[in-house]
Amino acid sequence: MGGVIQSGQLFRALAPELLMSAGALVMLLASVWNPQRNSPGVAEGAEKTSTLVRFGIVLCAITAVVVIIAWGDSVSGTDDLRIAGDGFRWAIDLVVLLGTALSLVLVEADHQRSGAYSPEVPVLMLLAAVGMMVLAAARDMMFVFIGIELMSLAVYVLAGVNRRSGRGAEASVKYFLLGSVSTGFLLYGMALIFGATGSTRLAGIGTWVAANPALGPMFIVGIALLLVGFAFKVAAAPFHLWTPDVYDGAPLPVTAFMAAVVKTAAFASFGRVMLEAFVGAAPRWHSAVWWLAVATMVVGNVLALSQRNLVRMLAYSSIAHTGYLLVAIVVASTAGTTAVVFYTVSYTLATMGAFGVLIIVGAGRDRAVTLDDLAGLWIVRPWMATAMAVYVLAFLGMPLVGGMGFFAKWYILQAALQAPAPQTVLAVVLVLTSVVSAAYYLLVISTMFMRPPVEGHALPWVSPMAQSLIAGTTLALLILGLYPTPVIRMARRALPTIETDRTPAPQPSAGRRLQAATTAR
Amino acid sequence: MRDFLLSLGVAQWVLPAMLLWPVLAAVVVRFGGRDISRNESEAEAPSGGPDARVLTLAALFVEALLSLALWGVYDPAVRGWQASVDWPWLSDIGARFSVGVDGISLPMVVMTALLMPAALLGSWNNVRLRTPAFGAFVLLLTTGLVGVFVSLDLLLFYLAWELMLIPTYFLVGVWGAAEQSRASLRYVLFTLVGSLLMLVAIAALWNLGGGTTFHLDDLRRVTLTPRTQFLMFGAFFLAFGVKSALVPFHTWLPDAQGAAPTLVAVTLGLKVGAYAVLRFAIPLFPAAAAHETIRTVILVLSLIAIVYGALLALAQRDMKRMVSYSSISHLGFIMLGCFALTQQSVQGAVISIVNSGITTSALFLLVGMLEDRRGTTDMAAFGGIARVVPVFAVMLTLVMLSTIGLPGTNGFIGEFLVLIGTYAERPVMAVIATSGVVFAAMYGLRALQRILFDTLDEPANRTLTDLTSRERLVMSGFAVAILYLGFAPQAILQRAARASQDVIEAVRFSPNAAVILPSVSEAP
Repeated sequence: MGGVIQSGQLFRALAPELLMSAGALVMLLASVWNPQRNSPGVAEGAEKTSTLVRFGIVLCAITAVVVIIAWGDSVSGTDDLRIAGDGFRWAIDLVVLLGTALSLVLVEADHQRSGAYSPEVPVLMLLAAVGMMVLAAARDMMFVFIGIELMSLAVYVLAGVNRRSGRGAEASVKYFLLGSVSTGFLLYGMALIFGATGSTRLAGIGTWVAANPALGPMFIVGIALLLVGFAFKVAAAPFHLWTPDVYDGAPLPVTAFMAAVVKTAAFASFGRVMLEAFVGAAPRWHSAVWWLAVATMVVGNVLALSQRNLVRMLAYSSIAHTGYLLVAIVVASTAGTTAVVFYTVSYTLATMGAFGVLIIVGAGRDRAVTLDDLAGLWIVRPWMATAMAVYVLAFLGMPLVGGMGFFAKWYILQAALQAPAPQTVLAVVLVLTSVVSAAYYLLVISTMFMRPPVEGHALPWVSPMAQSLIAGTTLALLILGLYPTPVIRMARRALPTIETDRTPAPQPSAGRRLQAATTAR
Repeated sequence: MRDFLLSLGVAQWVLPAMLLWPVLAAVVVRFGGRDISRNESEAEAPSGGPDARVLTLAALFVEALLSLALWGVYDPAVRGWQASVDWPWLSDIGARFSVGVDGISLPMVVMTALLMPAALLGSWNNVRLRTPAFGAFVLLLTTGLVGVFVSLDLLLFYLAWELMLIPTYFLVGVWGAAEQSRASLRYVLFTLVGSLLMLVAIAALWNLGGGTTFHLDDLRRVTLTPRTQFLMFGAFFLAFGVKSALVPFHTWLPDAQGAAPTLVAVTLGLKVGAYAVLRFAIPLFPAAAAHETIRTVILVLSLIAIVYGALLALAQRDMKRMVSYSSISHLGFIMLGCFALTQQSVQGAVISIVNSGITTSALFLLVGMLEDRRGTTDMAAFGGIARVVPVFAVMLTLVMLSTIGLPGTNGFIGEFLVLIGTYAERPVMAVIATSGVVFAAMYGLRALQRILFDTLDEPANRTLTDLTSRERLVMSGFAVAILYLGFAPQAILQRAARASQDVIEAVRFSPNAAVILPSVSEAP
């Protein structure tokens, strides 16, 4: 009997994921139903890709509506606390769906010119999105694992989807091997933690941690392995080495998908696990994540400086953004999760737009897009160059001209300084590495605006799909940069359910001084 | 007049209008303006609409009129913010669209708003490429400048502060001289280091203030430990020092100004940073500002700036760089006045900011006029041109005398007040600073001699054309301002007196003032 009620509740709690999976499976059937003849230079069944992509975008929109309804009805998770029903899950779902829909638009924009995408591509993207939504909802280590695997397997395939590209194959194999290793770390960590605590549920682990402050070596090793696994997935230094190669080799829409959406989902799960299960053990992992954040910010930004290949530059810049987001994990507070949600919205919009521009400029050639390809873009395509400038300024976090990017950084800073132990040093590292990032972001701008266009360069063709994507993301960034309140309201409501009896994190920093001032007040 | 303006409700809308109008106008100029370079090269068909430069000038002219209306409604007898507007903006963090002026910011706003159209008109043919985008960026920059002067909300202030940065980056990089992108990149990186640290300080201050308000008046009441004050003051002062090019953060300024188009060189020369020191750094962190060691360090840096800047100006061959270094030397006087912390010296600093805005801009415009005629700003390329271009010579002499600080010109009043005020507090420093005036005379008169009075040996100089009627109009405006402020500075002094008093009182009596709290070195 209980099983029946349980499964009914489970279906209700997982309604958006189930809807999305069903839709994706129908699309998969449709793609193999009537195999098309294979003309040279075009992927098999390429005629159907456009239709399926459009269907996928609609499916994302429908799922988003279901998510919003579920949020509005405050659908709770399951009683056994395996599936979350909190705002954090729904907010991350919405960001993931937005990112997936925009990635599909990128696929379509690229496909309209090259015809290089087989109909499986949108299906795989949607399946990866299902995995991400499971990740966002998981309050049980097993669900976390299922979500990560579902997401990763789909993305491994997507990275190598262009079978005629050697770089794509290399990227796919690299990603698969390193990804499997990191999954192994993750799984081993989960196993050890289960061994120590006797529970796979985050809430159960949290209770155990509160009851056993001594923790014990098995638990500590488990946390360490878990951290390594997550650090791989979010591409934090020193576990970032796969990122530039994979980003560079994969087709650009897939790269955008990995850079923005996969990162969002991985961070959502990372944040939830750290906050719900391990917040009581914060003194043990705090300094590890602290150093991870510092190293990631420094490594990402410094290595990006020397890149002339734009995709590699954006790859390193995405590592740097991982570092900024890790700052929000370090503080392990609700202000931190608010910042994560807001940041990922802004980052998703800017990444999708920037990759849209790269797809247009790259013009479907199987070689890397370099800075030189952007030279004089302002003179040839003034509005596209302006949009690209907005995206990189958003990455940089400039107010007004960079739109939302500024508030994204602001909320991270705010979370860092508002924490019980203010992370002033982290905040200072964050802004100083941002200055470093200005050097390469402004290099992109100066190439577009201050260099003459290359003679004999054909005008890049802009598909209407790409045009609307660029216009939409730019306007969204700029408008929300003036008035970010709607997004911040969503992010504010997205507080994950955490136990309140939290011990304050330690402070390895000069933050103590500021805290003294706080208490004085 | 005041009653008439008040009956129009000017006080309620003039400041928001001054901030929003240039942005709207920028859109109009970008979309509706005609690019004159397209007419000249017949390859492309001319786009329609009026000349983008004319549109930009008209928009800036409206902005100047608005600023005059602001001047008109200001009541010198009243203390505190006037024409202030306080609209809700970001309710979740308590940031508000809060603007207002007092006796310190009013002269700056009016000076900036009047300067912009004059500078555009004075460098009319300096920029002829892609004028719609140029005009749009100039208008955005105007919003940023005005925003910095009128913001009372620290987040809004930060937005305006950064809004000055990016348009300037584009203006210097796209329309500047060769190898320009390096100069503009350096400018941005230098400025960002300071301003981002200031952002951290703003966030920390907001957090200590309860996380509900960014308003200057509220944050001044937040009690801070001396150590916190010290760190935050450091972050603010670094941002402002870099922006105003105080020695040793001055190295970007001559490069950027040398590369920039004339109009942008003028805006780079405005002492925005010095204003921000008076408005934010000193009142928010009075104990740090008045702390003996910190104050002495800044005063000594100011003295170094005065003398070193003047000596470097003496050593320059390039006129633009000479003007840059002279403006660095003037900044020394202003900072000296700010941190001597007497009412006279602060008043002197305020009027010096206005004066240096006027004279430095006039010098840049004059140099730019020579550059537009000859294509060079090397002093060696000129000589003896007083006979060829007499009107130009008269104007250059007048402006240069004002730079030197000759009594009867505006330059004298500010420096004199600063020196008197400083003498009351630090007599030795005042004496050293006075030597800066002598050095100013050396570089100023030497430049006059080399440009105007040596032998007329370059044949290209024999055919120089004198100022056109457009240039005469602009320069006579500057001449009137120089002489008017030189003989009758009361208009500004009277308005700045009360506000300067407030700055001094903030240092002496605010909750964070040094008399209440122990000095930084004794902090735990």
